[in-house]
Amino acid sequence: MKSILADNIVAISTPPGKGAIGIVRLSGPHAIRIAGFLLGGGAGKPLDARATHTLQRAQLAHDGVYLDDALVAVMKSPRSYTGEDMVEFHCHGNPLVLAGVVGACLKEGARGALPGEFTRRAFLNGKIDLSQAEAVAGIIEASSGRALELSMRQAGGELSRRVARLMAGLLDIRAEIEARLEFPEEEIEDDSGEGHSFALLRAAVECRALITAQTEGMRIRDGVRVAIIGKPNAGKSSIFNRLLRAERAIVTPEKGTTRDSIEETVMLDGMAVTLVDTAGICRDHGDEAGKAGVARSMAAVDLADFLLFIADASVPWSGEDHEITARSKGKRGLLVLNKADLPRRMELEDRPGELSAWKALWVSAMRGDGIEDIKKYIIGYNNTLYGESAEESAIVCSAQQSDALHRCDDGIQSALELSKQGGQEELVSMELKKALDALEAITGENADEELLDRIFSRFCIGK
Amino acid sequence: MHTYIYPKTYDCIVIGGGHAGCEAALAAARMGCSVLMLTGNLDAIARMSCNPAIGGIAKGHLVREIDALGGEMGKNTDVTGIQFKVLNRKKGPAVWSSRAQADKLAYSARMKRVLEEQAGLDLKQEMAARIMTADGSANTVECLTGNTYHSAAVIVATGTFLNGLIHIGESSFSAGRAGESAAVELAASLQGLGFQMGRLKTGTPPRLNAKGIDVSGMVRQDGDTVPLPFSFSSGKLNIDQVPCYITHTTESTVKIIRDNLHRSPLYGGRIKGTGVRYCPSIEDKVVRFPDKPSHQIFIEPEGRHTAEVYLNGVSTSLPYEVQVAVVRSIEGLERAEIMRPGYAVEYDYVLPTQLYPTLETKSVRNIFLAGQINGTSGYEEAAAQGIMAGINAALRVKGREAFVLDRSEAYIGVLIDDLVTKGTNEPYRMFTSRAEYRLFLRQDNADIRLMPCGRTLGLISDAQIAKLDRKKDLIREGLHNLAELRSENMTAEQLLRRPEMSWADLPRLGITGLPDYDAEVIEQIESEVKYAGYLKRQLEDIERFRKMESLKIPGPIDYSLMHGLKKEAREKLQKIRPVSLGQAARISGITPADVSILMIFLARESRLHPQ
Repeated sequence: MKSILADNIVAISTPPGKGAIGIVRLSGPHAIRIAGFLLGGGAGKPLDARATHTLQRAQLAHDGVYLDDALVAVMKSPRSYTGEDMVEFHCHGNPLVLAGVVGACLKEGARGALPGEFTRRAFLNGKIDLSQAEAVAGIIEASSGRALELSMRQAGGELSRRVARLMAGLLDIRAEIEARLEFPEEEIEDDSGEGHSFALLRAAVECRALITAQTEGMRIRDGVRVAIIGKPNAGKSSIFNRLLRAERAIVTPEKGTTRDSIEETVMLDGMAVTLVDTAGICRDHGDEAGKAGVARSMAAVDLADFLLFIADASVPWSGEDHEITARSKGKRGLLVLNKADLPRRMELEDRPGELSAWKALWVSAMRGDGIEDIKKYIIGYNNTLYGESAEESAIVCSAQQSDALHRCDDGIQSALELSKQGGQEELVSMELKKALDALEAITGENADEELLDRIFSRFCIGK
Repeated sequence: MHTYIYPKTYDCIVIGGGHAGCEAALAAARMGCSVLMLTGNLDAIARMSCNPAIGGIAKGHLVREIDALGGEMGKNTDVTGIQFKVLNRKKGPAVWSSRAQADKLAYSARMKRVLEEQAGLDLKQEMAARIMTADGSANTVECLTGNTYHSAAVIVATGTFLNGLIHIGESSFSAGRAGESAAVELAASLQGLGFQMGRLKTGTPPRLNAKGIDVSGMVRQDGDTVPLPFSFSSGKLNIDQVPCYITHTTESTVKIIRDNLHRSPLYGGRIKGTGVRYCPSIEDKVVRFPDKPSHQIFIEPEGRHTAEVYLNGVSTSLPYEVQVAVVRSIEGLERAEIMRPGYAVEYDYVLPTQLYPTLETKSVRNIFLAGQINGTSGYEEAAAQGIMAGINAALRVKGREAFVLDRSEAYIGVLIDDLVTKGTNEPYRMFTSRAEYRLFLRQDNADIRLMPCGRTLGLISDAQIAKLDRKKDLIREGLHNLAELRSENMTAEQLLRRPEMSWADLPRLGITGLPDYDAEVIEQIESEVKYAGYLKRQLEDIERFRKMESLKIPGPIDYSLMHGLKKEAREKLQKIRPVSLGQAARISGITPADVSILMIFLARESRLHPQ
């Protein structure tokens, strides 16, 4: 069956942040070829040589970056959900992994699916019936509203503001180029006094800055790192396990880490939090391996956004406690006074000065008391981070928005390249249009309509 | 009142003998219809009411496209042109556009002759007053004389005549254009048929007598050494070209205008219609760009056998005596005499969103509208709509399938799609930047793009197609040669791909053995080579675009039944009644989510009612 639509769409198809596995779906005439780029070599038969409706295990990687150990399902047209060629990646349910897989597909030419688009294709290709389709029609409205709300909330308006500014800059350059193309006999003065190549450079910088801010935003959203520190036997591993036990632990995307590692990612209130158990690192210190462990443990503290200092409340404060807290200077964290089930031998007032600003919680890892409070506190911290990111430079975007920024950047870079060679204004303008069209995916506004307005408001044109 | 029913029943009546009306009448007659053209003044056929030029950026593209569909504008310009120029030669081929200065009287006379000689076409000097319908379909046109004509289809191409109102300074009077009466009754009739009308304004500059003009200090502007014709069928143009001149306004021009602004009907608030931003009046320029000390003025001859010249850049509706002062403040015009003053004209137009892409009105079957009545500006825009209206009226009468060009096929497609999908509230002019597939829609390949369509419609002869095929062969051969011929380690193609290189540079770079092709063939080879990678990308975009266009929306559809659509979206769709999902997506305010819902709804419909 030939699909009526020419492009390839990709999206995460499982609900965000839940489940041990997450599925990325890819559909369209080139789905199998695109998926092939993620499988790399050595995975046995190439994907297109495989029979339809087969499952294979594969190590996904793209551009030299390892993504995940996943199962890949191939469903060939017409026997697929959408009726088109489809590939499903059954990955570990970590949002970072899934975003990585989607990102790789986008780079290979797929585009982010619109809400309900898989179902829409399924319907248009005659794969599902009327009642299913009508249900989807209702969902589309609802989900597009949610997506918008989400992006508004996440970005705090910062993304739209900066994109609008970038758009205005690009439009101005286009307006000047087009004015010269459309009115070759007019005396069009350079009213900006700088020429379009300078303005183009400025737009390029602004777009790159947005991408950086967006990358930073993703890191904050997906990778808040919480290091669990404290002297041996304070109960770090018990707390770590307690925190993991209630939530489903999932592997991190870093190559080589496994479920046995000392780093685990959990979903707390829908957001990913990476817990680092420095107990695992510090084990057996004294020997060579132990020294290396201490060094890694300290590095983990440095890398962490947030610290859980575990103190053993059944013994008094010791020099070791002071030694460890010295490393946490300037960090934010929570003081966990563990073993609250045992007779208390520790006074809060005597705590090391570095911890004086931190909140303290009495906890019993053994009985499970106070574990929920720790989680709430981490969630609260995470939320503050969000609030700050909106005001600072970080911007959180959806995969589609991020894709749009990259496409915009592509357009600007090509325009820069062309304008360096000189002439070819119509091609520079075409690349700028590509950049502007990409931004339309974020703002929902088409810049074409405004182009002529700009020309006539800036230049005295027309006979 | 006297009535007389003319015994002959026509297939098609064209109201108006301007640039739209001429193309409409010729296309319909050439497709085998019996056609009647009604015009208030047979001496004003194809009159150039404003500037004495055809073509220009994007407009030249339109002329070439009209020609490729078998239209007359290109041929008429080639025969009566007095200066030819390809604009933007220093820029990329996609924005090259031809323009010709035409001899106004000759242009009009030659077009009249072509109409007179056209089989199946009758011309009558009559002012149409009323269009009458039966069963929701137009069938009769009644004239001011009381004479009544029956016809299966009616094309209305009335230009600025509907309730036309001319303003010069403090005085205003009813007129369609200087010296001709307005169409007041017809405007009322259209309103009576239920069309929603708007009001626009356009203007024209004063005409001067050349004998009072001193060109010695002006910049002379000549045509191209080798004039390039518009029409595929015109041979080499062997003509004496006449020059234009460029001069400038002075500080005193600005002062005179500023001092008299209160006397301008534009700024005095008497003009209600929206003006053309692209051809602003000199008053507008002075007000909107107060810092600009001087404005460029072009002096263009109105014809070979007249001393009258057109003062391009000084469109104005200031009082006559102020116009005199303004003209005489311009360098070289100190002693010039005005022969006809400039003026502004306000007129009614029909909001073009009430049309299908065939230019037929949605509410009254078999009425087609073309030209300024649809809110456009320019001879070429009018002619483009005229030929499409004529073609579609003929197809309707003959029971054949409608002919619509989409945005990826032609500027004509962009023009009509913009009008019927987005509408316009100011006079709409074509620009190359309106065409998203600009690299592909060039004037050099208009023949290849559209002549096959013209052939199918019966407007292009087999001989012309054979000539086109020969041209295509030469282009193929040329491209092949470029890939084969080398200079050292570079192919000719690689050399030509450099932005600064042209075909003419190749021998100098050591490429020998290139055949001697016509300029038209070379132009197209160059475009194909220079744009190669970009064209590939654009063609991919076009493929995606056409998929959406091919998803047709069978009418009529009750959008109020469409669950999930917001109220605004339902109203917009109900109003525009898009013919395809692609068109629906272009309606302003329709979101991708709306389109998804529509898509699902349509798929369901077609499944429930298999056709």
